[in-house]
Amino acid sequence: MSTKAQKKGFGATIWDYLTTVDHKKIAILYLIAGGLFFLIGGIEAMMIRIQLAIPDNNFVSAGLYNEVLTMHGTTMIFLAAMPLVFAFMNAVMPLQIGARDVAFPFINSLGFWFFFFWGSILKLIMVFRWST
Amino acid sequence: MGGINFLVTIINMRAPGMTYMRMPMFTWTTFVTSALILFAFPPLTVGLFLMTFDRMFGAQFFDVAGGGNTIIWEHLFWIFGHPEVYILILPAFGIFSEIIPVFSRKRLFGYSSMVFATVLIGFLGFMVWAHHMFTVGLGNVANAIFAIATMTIAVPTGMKIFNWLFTMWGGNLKFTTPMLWSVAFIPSFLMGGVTGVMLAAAPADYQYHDTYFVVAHFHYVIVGGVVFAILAGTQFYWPKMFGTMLNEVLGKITFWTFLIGFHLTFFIQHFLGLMGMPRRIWKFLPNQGLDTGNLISSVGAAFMAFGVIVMLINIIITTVQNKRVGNDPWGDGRTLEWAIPSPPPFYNFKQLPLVRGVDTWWIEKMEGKKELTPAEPLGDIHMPDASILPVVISGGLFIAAFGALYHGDKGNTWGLPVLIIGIGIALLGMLIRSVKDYHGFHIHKEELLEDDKDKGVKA
Repeated sequence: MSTKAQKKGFGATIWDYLTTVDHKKIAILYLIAGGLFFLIGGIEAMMIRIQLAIPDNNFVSAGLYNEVLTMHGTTMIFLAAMPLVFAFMNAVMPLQIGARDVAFPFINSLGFWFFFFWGSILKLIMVFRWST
Repeated sequence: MGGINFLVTIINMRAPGMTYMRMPMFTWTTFVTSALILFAFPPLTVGLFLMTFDRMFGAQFFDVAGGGNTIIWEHLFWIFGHPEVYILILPAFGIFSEIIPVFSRKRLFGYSSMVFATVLIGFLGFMVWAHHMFTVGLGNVANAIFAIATMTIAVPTGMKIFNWLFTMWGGNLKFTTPMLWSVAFIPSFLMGGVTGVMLAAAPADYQYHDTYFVVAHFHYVIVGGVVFAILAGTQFYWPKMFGTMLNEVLGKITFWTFLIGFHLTFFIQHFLGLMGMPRRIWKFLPNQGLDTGNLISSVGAAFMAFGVIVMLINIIITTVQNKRVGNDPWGDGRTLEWAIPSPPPFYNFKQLPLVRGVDTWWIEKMEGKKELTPAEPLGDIHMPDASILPVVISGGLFIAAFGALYHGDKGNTWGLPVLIIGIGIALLGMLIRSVKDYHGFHIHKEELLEDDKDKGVKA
């Protein structure tokens, strides 16, 4: 396999990221996924603040407010803050100690995909609940 | 999993000469954080497992009516929950400990005390969980012990705050966006720390408990600490990860709007809390003295949202412009990562570097060298194989989770088959992983040399 940078098609790039065990690419995946959840958590935060902006507001119902509040906390800690911190750990730590990759690249990748699918489940359930 | 992986990496894969006390602070905090993850998550897993049994199979672990005990759940959760906040904040400290020396152009003040403080915070983080439960009724002795243990954490944290201040003191400061975040972090986080000590005083906590004062406190530490670190780190490490620099002007707009919005949102919440506004309420009634405070808080939140949107625009503009940068775009990088191209080639280091002290790259630069001293002759590099199996295994469990969720619904017929199929896919993925050999591949010496000629620069 050559190390030369090749111009790759879109599909090949996606496949590359799906199968990667490279700590730098996993870091980028964490950054994108964590950033996405950070935005969703931010929207939830805005819903909370809009509801509480004026007294006796009815922007969201009581039950929905509770759901959004819980999801805001869970999202921000487990789906945004930790993955984003992990993104920097993955990107920087091996370079700082002069290593070529982490000790178990496969497990590193597995860890990311567990996190991503788990986060998606949480978000999808919420959407399904609201739609039914 | 991630925890063990980072621990083993740091223990086994340090470059020649990289002793523990020469490791950059971010690596140290990653190390301690990984240990915390390793010990903090099992209680949560156990707790969730028991909860699952309660809810799906009718067990009575936490059901008082059935002879269970809800307090056990609270303990299990907080034995995880408190170390979790240190899992978040220690890497944040690490990022700031990297940024501040770079833009002060001085080495980190009190490196060894910084390491000591990190380890101490990691240790004490496990000793204080019951301070979340002062009002549960554990008794005066337990409350007093946990109150004192909690206040003890202020000591190593204070050490760190002073070390950062002394790093900047007399330094040749450069106020780039990451540095602005770091400077703003110190007073913001300090305020969160002070309210933390206030909350740690158990008798006073009976007043604060479950009010907006607590909300203000933890947002000050988490946003003022972790989110600032993430935003600073994004700006700081973006060139190393993607090879382009984020726009500094837009970065500073993000910084100022976010900083002002943050204090506007959460500072007032201290007072709302002291005036008696409880947490987790859906609405409040007019003319109870809470109207103005809440409106200010919401306006602040809009500022923060604006800051984040500017940051997104910044990222899009930077990516579209795609201006490539060199090895050390900030000009003052101190640690190994700034000695190699941005983004680094996929094998990172052509020859593993020889580390001769803290801030290796700075040492080499001060001696006028343009690259790191190699620790090994140029040779073949062994790289691991790429694999789709992680997606297959986690995807299988993803499908299984949907089956499990809907299985309990009345009249649901597809839940069970979906559950079984999902677990089947995951197990198949694991089986393939177990029986198939992955040898990896080698990058040969000749290809590495060829690379150099193509690019015309040394990797």
